[in-house]
This record gives sequence, structure tokens and C-alpha cells, in this order.
Amino acid sequence: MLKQNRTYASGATASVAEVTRYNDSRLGPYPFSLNFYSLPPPYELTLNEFETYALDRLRVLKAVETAALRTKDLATIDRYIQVVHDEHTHLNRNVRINAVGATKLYEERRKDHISHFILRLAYCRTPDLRKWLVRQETALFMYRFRQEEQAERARFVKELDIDMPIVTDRERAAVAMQLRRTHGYSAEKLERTVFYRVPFENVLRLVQRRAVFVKDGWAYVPERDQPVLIAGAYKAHLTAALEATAKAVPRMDEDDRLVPVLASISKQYLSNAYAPAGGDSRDIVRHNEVDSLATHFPPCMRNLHSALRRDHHLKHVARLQFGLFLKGVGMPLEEALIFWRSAFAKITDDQFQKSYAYNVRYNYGLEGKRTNYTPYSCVKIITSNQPAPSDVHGCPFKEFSKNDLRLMMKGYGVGDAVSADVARLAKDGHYQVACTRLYESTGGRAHRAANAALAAGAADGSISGGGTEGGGVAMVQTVEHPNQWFDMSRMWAAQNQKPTGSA
Amino acid sequence: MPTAAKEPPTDNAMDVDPATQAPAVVAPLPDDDQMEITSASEDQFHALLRIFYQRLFPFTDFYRWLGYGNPDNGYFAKREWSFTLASDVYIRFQSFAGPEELRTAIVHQCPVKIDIGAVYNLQPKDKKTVLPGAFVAKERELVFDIDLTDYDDVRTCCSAADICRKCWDFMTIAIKILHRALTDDFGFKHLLWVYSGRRGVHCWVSDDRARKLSHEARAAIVSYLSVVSSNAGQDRSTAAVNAPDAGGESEDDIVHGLGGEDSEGEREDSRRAAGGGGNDSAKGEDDSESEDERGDGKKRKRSRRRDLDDEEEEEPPLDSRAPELFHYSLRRAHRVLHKHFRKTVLVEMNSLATRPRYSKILAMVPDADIRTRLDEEWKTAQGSSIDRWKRLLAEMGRSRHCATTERDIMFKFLYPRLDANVSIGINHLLKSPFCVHPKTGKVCVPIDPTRCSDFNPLTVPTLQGIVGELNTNAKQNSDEGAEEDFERTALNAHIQTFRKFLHGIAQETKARLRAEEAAASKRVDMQRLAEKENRRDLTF
Ligand code: SF4
Ligand SMILES: [Zn+2]
Repeated sequence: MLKQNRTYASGATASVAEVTRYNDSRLGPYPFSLNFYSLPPPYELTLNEFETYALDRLRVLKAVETAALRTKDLATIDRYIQVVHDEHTHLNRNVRINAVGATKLYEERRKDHISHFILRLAYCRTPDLRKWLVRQETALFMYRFRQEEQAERARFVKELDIDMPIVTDRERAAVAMQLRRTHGYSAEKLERTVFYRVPFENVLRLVQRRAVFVKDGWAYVPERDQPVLIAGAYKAHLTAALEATAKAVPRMDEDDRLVPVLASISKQYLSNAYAPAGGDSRDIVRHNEVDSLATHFPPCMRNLHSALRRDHHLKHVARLQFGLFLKGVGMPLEEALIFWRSAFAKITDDQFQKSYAYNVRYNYGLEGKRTNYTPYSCVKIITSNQPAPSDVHGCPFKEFSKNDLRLMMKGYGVGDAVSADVARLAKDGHYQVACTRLYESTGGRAHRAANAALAAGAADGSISGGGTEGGGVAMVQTVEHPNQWFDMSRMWAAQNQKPTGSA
Repeated sequence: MPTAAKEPPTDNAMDVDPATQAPAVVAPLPDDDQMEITSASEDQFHALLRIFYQRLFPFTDFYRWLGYGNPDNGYFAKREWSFTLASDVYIRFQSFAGPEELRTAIVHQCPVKIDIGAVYNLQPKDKKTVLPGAFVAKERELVFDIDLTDYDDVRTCCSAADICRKCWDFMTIAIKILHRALTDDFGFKHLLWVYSGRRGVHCWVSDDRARKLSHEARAAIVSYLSVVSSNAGQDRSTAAVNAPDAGGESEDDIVHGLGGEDSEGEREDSRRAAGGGGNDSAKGEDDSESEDERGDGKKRKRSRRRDLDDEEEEEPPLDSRAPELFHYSLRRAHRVLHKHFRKTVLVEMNSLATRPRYSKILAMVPDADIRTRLDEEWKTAQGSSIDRWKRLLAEMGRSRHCATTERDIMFKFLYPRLDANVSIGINHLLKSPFCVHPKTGKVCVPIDPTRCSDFNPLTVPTLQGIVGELNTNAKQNSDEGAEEDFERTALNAHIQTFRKFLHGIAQETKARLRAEEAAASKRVDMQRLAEKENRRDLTF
């Protein structure tokens, strides 16, 4: 990287052409897709813009966080982030200036700029929030840095003017042997490599892994590791800026329109309403199809389903959670009434009409406030209606004991490694990530196993299977909604049932 | 009392209940010729301790140290001190404006143990006057705590609290390696090494830069210096020599993640370099640097040949981690280990003499053939550790799997084992130098790192000894008026070591002040110049 950075002089000449190419005045203050956000945005915003911008960025930061929780593989992380990033905070790179137009680039970057500053305001209040934001923003910045072209990166870095002097040839010769030992470079490779000399405190990640040569308190960072320096500089910059914001915010509270919005942003869980796959044209689900579809239920719903079959009853909140889920799956009111009537096998028609039919119709907006209720999202299930010990509703990853969870995982037939991984995520409060991990690792195999178990008459969802991790399922977006799991699972099954198997 | 030093009470400990938070009663006494303090002599001990504090404890030197040349800005006064009293009451968050206040408190309370904590944003004694979040630890020396109890799996001479000259070698080696790494690599200059009073050493890295290190920076340094992974529990040393624990940290790779464009190529390169290559000049130079105590050319030839063999080998199970191990700081450490291995491990620990002993070493040999063969051979016969080691090396030299095993064994046995928690937490407390160990009666004296091989923990001054000297030696020197009391005791040499360390800090402080003054006067000059310029502007 950065051949033109070998000396400043040659670097300057090499980039003159590029500078003129990209110095498009229509880009305004945003000559790069990358931004260190040193200046606040001077724009007027509507409250609505304010909120959507912030939420869009927050979705991406959540994805960034999740990606890191899910895997250590950078390529997978990037692929994962990319999907969410491109949907909510798309940023065209400069090479696309002619393809999409400078105005579009400007708009995207303006939004990026604004949304970053809104989140600063929303997340500056406590040390924990600040820490979270710094971490995710730095990861997001580095993701974008990785996506950007070499020449652009170099140009951006140059403009940043980060203090990282290049080691002179003579200095390098003095420690040549140590550098080569540290990096396993050949003599020629060493010759070709640019090193920066910075205080070791700036590259702790490298120091910690003994991945850098350190002498007299200076770290000799090879150009390959330059991103560590950039990340460090960005992180330091943002940390300081957030602390300054935190001190300034009490004054801002005077603008009381913003306060509730900001407060809600930092509490935001991104519980987007569920939009069923296939829209209105989906097949209707009949009351007698529920058992066979249960293989596609997420853990929470399987749990409710098996409790219903076992007890022939569900309590109020459980009925709501499961009933709305079934509604989302595609069960119309008439079918739902039959389903619940037959499921509550121990009571009379009369009792059912008196005590339960109302609830079912209520779910469909035909009673009470006459709202057309939507199925609960994971966040809603996880955060509201805290179940009592005797209840069966809620999210298993949150409510189950470690042992119950282990048994459940065994039921899904996942291996010990995955099981431990999921348990760890659940323990740390990353319930949806745990759920997603389970989905991925079971993939189609769990569904097949479940089918087999069902065929054998064990309709309670407890299946036994091999202990190995199911391959072939790519990393999916975090499970936000039980119906999302259902749709993914069903789609997967549909694809894989084709004889040609085009997975 | 290293136990307490390792697990100082948390911040709030004292707020809860002083009595229950007191350090646990110390472990049973070492069973050697050291003086013991029995409960019967406890009163006598405290009488001596009081004299020690009154006449011998170097309060002004402490002030010079912990004041760091900033007497006016209250740096010393913001330092936390904590005392363990004879009644086992533990008092945290004390602070003192200066040496006199410190002396008064210590002489008055006569603590059996003194701990030094962090420098806070306000005087710790005022902690209660502010909201909980408003009292924060700002700075502290970078400290290290190495304890022989963590070497129990490789010590064969003593165990637990006991120590002897033989196993003190482990501490000497630790000092040598850490001192070099901290000074050469991190550029620290002011290191105070202290005997912990029983079976370990402490190090106080006191540079300005060290005191200002963040939590993360301390963690990174500890990781850099850690090779034998230490799990906080009992068995800290079971894991083999390995690269620093990257697993727990890799989450951060997303934050600092790299493009990894040429990582493939890099790895190729490093494998080659690590595997050796006799014609590689890097390798050649390393050999010439290494201090091969045995000095037998045969060994050197063998290792070269072996390295060449490895280059032809396609199998990289050990080589793949070699690049980490071949980091410059580890090569340097390796030379020290190599130099001491024979005497400490083979002769003194006699670590291959019996089956339980040699099994530990054989377990690290990746070649199963060698393991079984040598076990068969050794389990019935008698043999010296030196001969067996030679035999093992010869076997490993012929095996394609053992390229780094010799080195791994050396690291496993001798590389310093750090207590990470003590070093990382800024608000952790560590026992003060010149404390008297309440059980051994030994004074926690500084150790001169340049002469650490000479340090003998069995002959350090004891409370009884030096207070006694105060009486017996009093008359001889009574003429010399300006003399300080400790100069008549065995403590003198150690206080001189301390002062040498303080002198270094003072020099740097002086240089800094001079530089600041110069900068200030330059600013004045510039101002004058500017004023002149202005006037000239006016006249034109
Ligand atoms: S994460 Fe969502 S889908 Fe998964 S079990 Fe919990 S609530 Fe159900
Ligand atoms: Zn011993």
C-alpha cells in the first residue's frame, strides 16, 4: 500500500491528477466517502428527518455490533455489515461519481454526517453509552475504510494529517534485524516496506499481540498495519469529542423538542414492524396445518406450541404471543377460532365462547380497541410481560436456565461448540444473536430432523439429531422477529426440497 | 503478605465493613531458619515496629519518590495509602499532605502493613465529601507482582510459602527479563524492584509516562510480557508456551480490522524466517548473539542442521506459532533463559531426575515416539538431569516435530509469570517498599536490578536485626552528628539503592523543569521581539 507515500514528495505528485478528478465542487464539504466528523453539520433539520436519520444509522451500528459478536472472520463480518449498511446508510464511493451523480454522493454524505452527530448527542449521556458508540462507530469507520479504494484511502489519510512519521531509511537500517524478526520479512520485503514510528500507546492492539516491534517506547508500525493507527486516531478523536458533547448537552436541554427524541433514540431497539414475506398473496394457513409447520417455528413459538399440546391450555399473554404469531404466519380469523377451540380440548364450547373467543377476535381487531394487532417482535417479547416462573411465554434465550437451554439446543441437534456459543451469547444478554446463531447452525438439518420426529409421533418439538454443525447456511441477518425466523425457515425448506437442490 | 497484595479490597470495601474486609490471616510460617513471630512475641514485635517507624523508616525519601518533583500541586497528597493494623483492621483511602503528616500517622497507628494505591483526582481522605462517581483514580505506577507460589509446578525444592536460594533463581531470571523488556522496549527508566518480604518481588515502574498509562495500555503491556499463560486460579502454568492470548481480544479486530491484503504473503515469509534458514543473515546474527553456556559447537551445528531440515519440511504445526515466539523481546528473553536453564532447572531443580518430574517435560514433547521411548528408558534407571536433557535434545534434534520444543520447555519453566490483575487495575494497591513482613520480620528492601543475582532473600535485614544494630552500633558513630539512624544498620545499603532510584527521578525532574523554564523564557523573548516588531511597524 501507499507506494506514493514512501516519500511525501512523490506522493504529492502522484495524487495531483486524482485530486483534480475528485475535487468536484458539488461534493461540498465531503470530498471523501470517509469522514472523521471534525465539524458539526450546519444544517436545519425537520424533527422527522432527525429521527429517521438517527435510526437508520443506529440499525447499521447494531449490525456492526452483531457482526462482531457472531464471528471473528473479517470477510464474513464485512459481508454481514454490507447488507444493512447499503440499505440504511448507503455511501457511494468517489469512483461512482459519474455513475450516480455528484448530487447523490453529496446527499448520502450529508445524511451520514448529520446522523453521526445526532447519535453523538443521543449517546453522550453516560460513560457506557459513550463507550458503546465509540466502539461501534470506530468499527463502522473501519468497515468503510476497508471498502474504500487504496488511492482514496491514501488521499484521505494524507489529508487527516495524523501524526505518524515515516521511519527513515537510516533508522530502519538500525533496527532492520528486529523488524525482520518481528514480521518475518525477508531483507527485500523490509526494503519495500514503509514503517511508521508512533508512541506504543497508539497501537495497543499490536503491542498486546507482540505483532509490532517496540523500542524505547516507540512502535514501528508496518504500512500493512496502518489501519490500526487510523482506527486509533479516530477512536481517540471521537472519545474526546463525545466527552466534550456530554459537557455541553445540559445547555442543549433547553430545546425541549429534542430531548424526548434523543432519549428515545438511545433506548431504541429497532423493532420494525413485521412485513410478511410474500405480502398479501400468501397461502392461508389452516388450523390443522399448525403441527406440520411447527418445524419452522423459532424456539419461543415451539415452546408455546408444545406447551399448548401438552396442557391443552395457554395463559393470556402466551395466547397473545402465539396467536398473533399464527396470524402473522397466515392464519385467518376463522381458522384461528377453530384452532384454539380444538386446542383447548378440555373445556366446553360454552366456556370457550365465553372466555376465549373474544381474545381471538381481539387479536384480529374485531373487539376492544379494534386495532389490527401485529405479531410481537423479538424485542417486545424480550422486554415486556416479564414471565413468572410458571409462565411459558417470553424468549427462551432469556428465560431458560442454562440447563434448559442446553437441553433445548440438544433438541435442535446442534453440536457442543455451537451450544456453548449460544449459551454464552444468551448469558451476555444477546438473545436475538443467540437465536440467530441457532438458526444458522441448525439450518435445514434441524428441520429435517424435526420432520422425522414429527413423523414418529413426537410432535412436541423435541428432536434428536447428530451433533455436528449444519453447513451450507450463510450468515443471516439477526432475528428481529419470530415470524422472520418462520419465513426464513420455510423459504429455506422450499428451496431445498427441489430435487435439483439449488441451495 | 503477597496474598493480600494480590487481591486488594475493591473500592468500596472499606465503606462496607472494615473488619470483614481485612486481609485474611497469613499462611503458616516458612519452616526454615528464619525468625518467627509467635503470638507471645507480638507485643515485642510492635514495640520494635514502632522504633523502626520512628527512627528508621525513610519518610522523606518516600516523599521525594511519590512527590515526583511536584510538591506544590498536591500530587503526593492525592495518593491513597492504606494501613493494616495489628487488630486486622484495614483502613483505606488515607492521604497525607507531606512526609511529616505521613510519619505522624504511621508512627501513631503503627500499621503492620502499608499499601500504596493510586493518585486520585482529589485527596482520598475527602472521598466521602463528593458523589461516588466524582472520585476517580487518575494515575499509578505500572506495577508488577511476581510470586514464587506461582512456580510451584516447577519448583522441586520447596513449596507454598517456603523459599530457598535455589528457587530464588526464578525471581532473579524474572527481574532480568522484565527489566530489559520494560527499559529497552517500552523506554521506561525508573524502575524500583522490591523484595516482597517473603517469596516474591514487586516492581514499580515510576516514569511519568508509566504512571499515566490507561487501563488498556497496562493490559496490553502485561499481555506483551506474558508468555506462560496464567489462569487466575491455582494452576496458572499448565498452558504451554504460546502466543499471547489473542482469543479474548479478537473481538476488537473488527474495530481495528485490517484489509489483510497481503496477509498470505506475509505468512509465507514469516514461516520461512521463523523456521530458520542457515544462510539467512538474521538467523546467523542471532546465533552469534546467543550465549550458549555449554559452548559446545556440536549443539550449535545440530540446531542449524535442524533448522535447515525444518525449512524443507512442509509441516508447520509448531513453526506456525514460531513467528510470535521469535519476536525480538522473546529472543532476548530466550537468551537469558538459555543461560540459566542448565543451572536452575537441570542442576538445582533436578527436573528430570524422577518420573513425576520428567513426565512434565516429556508431556511437552510433541513427538509421541520420543515420549514413550524415553519414559521406558528412564522410569526404571537412575540418571542425572543433565544427561537426560542431553539425551532428550539429541532425540528431538532428529525429530521433525520438535523444532521449537526445547525453547518451549525453557519458557515454560523459567519465563516470568505475572499476576495480571495487580498490574492492570489502576486502583489496585500494592505493599509499600520498606514494610516489615509481619510473619518473617523481613524488611521489603529494594533490589538493585543490575546486581539482582547477588540478592539473597534469606539474608535481608530483619526488624529485630536492624533495631538491634541501632543499639549496638550507636556508640561507635555517635560523634558524627549529621548521620541518620539507618546508616548504622544493615538497612543502609538498601536505602542507598532506593536513593539511587530516586536520584534518577530527580535528575529527570530537574531536566524537565529546566526545559520548561527555557521554553517559558523563549516565549518571553518572542513576545519582546514581537513587541519590538510592532513598534517598528508603528514608526514606519
Ligand atoms: S429471539 Fe425472537 S424469535 Fe428467537 S426465541 Fe427469542 S423471541 Fe423468539
Ligand atoms: Zn526452594
